[in-house]
Amino acid sequence: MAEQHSHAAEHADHDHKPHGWRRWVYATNHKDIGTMYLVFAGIMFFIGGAMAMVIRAELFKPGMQIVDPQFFNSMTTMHALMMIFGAVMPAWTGLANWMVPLQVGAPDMALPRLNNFSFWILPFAFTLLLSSLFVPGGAPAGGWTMYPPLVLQNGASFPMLIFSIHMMGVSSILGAINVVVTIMNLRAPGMGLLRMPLFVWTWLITAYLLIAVMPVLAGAVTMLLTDHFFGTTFFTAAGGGDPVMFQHIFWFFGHPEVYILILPAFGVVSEIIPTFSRKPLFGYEAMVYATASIAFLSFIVWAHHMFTVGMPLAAELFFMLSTMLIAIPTGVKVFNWTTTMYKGSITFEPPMLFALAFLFLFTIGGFSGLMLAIVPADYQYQDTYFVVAHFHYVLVPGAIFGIMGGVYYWLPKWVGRMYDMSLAKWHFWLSTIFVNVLFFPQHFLGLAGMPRRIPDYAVQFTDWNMVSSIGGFGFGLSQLLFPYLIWKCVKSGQPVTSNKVWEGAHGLEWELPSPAPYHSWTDPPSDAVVARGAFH
Amino acid sequence: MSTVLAEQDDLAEKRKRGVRLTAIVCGLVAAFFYFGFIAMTLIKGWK
Repeated sequence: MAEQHSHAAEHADHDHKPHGWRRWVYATNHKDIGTMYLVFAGIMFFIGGAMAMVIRAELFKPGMQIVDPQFFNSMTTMHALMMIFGAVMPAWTGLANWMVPLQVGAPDMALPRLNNFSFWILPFAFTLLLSSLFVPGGAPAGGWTMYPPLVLQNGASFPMLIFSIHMMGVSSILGAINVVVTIMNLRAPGMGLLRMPLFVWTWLITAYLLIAVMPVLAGAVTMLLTDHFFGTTFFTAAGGGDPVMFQHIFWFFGHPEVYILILPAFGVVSEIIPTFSRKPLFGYEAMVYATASIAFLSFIVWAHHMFTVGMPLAAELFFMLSTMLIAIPTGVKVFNWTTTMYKGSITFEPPMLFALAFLFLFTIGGFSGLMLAIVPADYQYQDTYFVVAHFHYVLVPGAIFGIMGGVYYWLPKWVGRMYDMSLAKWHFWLSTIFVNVLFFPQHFLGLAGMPRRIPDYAVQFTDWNMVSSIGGFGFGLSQLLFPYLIWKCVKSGQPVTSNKVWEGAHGLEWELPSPAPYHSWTDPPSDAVVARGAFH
Repeated sequence: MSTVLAEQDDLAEKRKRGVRLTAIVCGLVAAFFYFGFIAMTLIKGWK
């Protein structure tokens, strides 16, 4: 063990690591860029979370208390944009940067300078977006979906919104290209496609989705821009355009976007559950094909987001049935995760706790999604808090818990120190309890008819809104434990005593010393090492 | 290519060509979707 540490220390002395600000501004090392993505995502998570606190404070009781309606609408719009494009997507890209080269036995991402560029676009994009809070008319308030003609009434913030979306899109597309190129070309000899870890597989499929749909969003907002400033009428009915066309284009992007946010979480959970069950993943190949099926189906279900705009009965039936079809590959995944645990020697360290919460709570989000797919029922649920409850169950205990589980799983490998296990369990339990207090009552509110995106509501909705707000404040406060825990781990965590960190872990990343050296796999791993770390 | 990648013997010309080719194909796919959807909306508007 001491030998391993001295090896790691020796390596650190000879890693030619740049120092000071140059290390970060000119970064081409995948670990540095991954760290920057994760820190950036963390900052955006707390800014977006602060906006959610404003929303929940205003909704604590009926009547207008704290903010005016325009600002409330800005908060709902900005919260979504910050969380989706600023927190979850960069967090996944950060994890991909850290883990994909380590897991496929590559020395770095294939295009390191492009990687630097992809990251450094983001702070500019989000500074621009956030600065729109201070322009006349306030920040964008027409919803993150940017439906015309409402979005065209945004005032000075409109071009800022459009430009920042373009920048986020460019960043995502370049990041995705880098992931695809790395996985397709830099795998270690012997690392066949069906030997790759599930996190790599899910990210490969996510990257293909990103390359296909982010340009669609960019095209849609480009057309909004020309409608607003250059006299085109793509989406303006008065000039022969079609506002409903925007909805179709937006959701052609928007539904695969949901899977862009969640597929990497499937990958993380598929790493964590076998490790802490001390069993190989059940049905590895089925998991790969299920992920690919979900990605394919995500392209042919978009109109379930817009049943109420009106469409032919045949189209309604097609989109309803294709949406329900997604339950099959998703069910395969849930079955395989459960079966992996069956007769396993399970322990409940924080990554496993987050993975289990993911399994239960994401499934709740999946079930409410099935309810929303039923056309006549959707006519009742559309634009109610039921929809808010549904997608928050998918994205918070789904995507966010996946990210947190991943960080708790790999953090000791990154920094070579173990975090405070009991504090991490506190973080888990507080998060899990409060996330349900926050979002479960929103199902009741929605079924009772409370519309979404309103700053005031009828008195009969008061009780569950109070409960939801208390859950929101509790969830928000408990997240402060997360950065504290990471900071404490980096500063004074117990040094980890083995490469593997977790007894049941398998994969190439666990063949490296802890902390992972600044330059890893400069010599590709041997066949024997690849075989030992192979996923199944 | 970073120094580390360039130094790796395995990453010889063939692998570098693969990197370039994959990146270019991905970029073209992205451009196809961007311009394709704008063109599709234009065509629909003319009908």
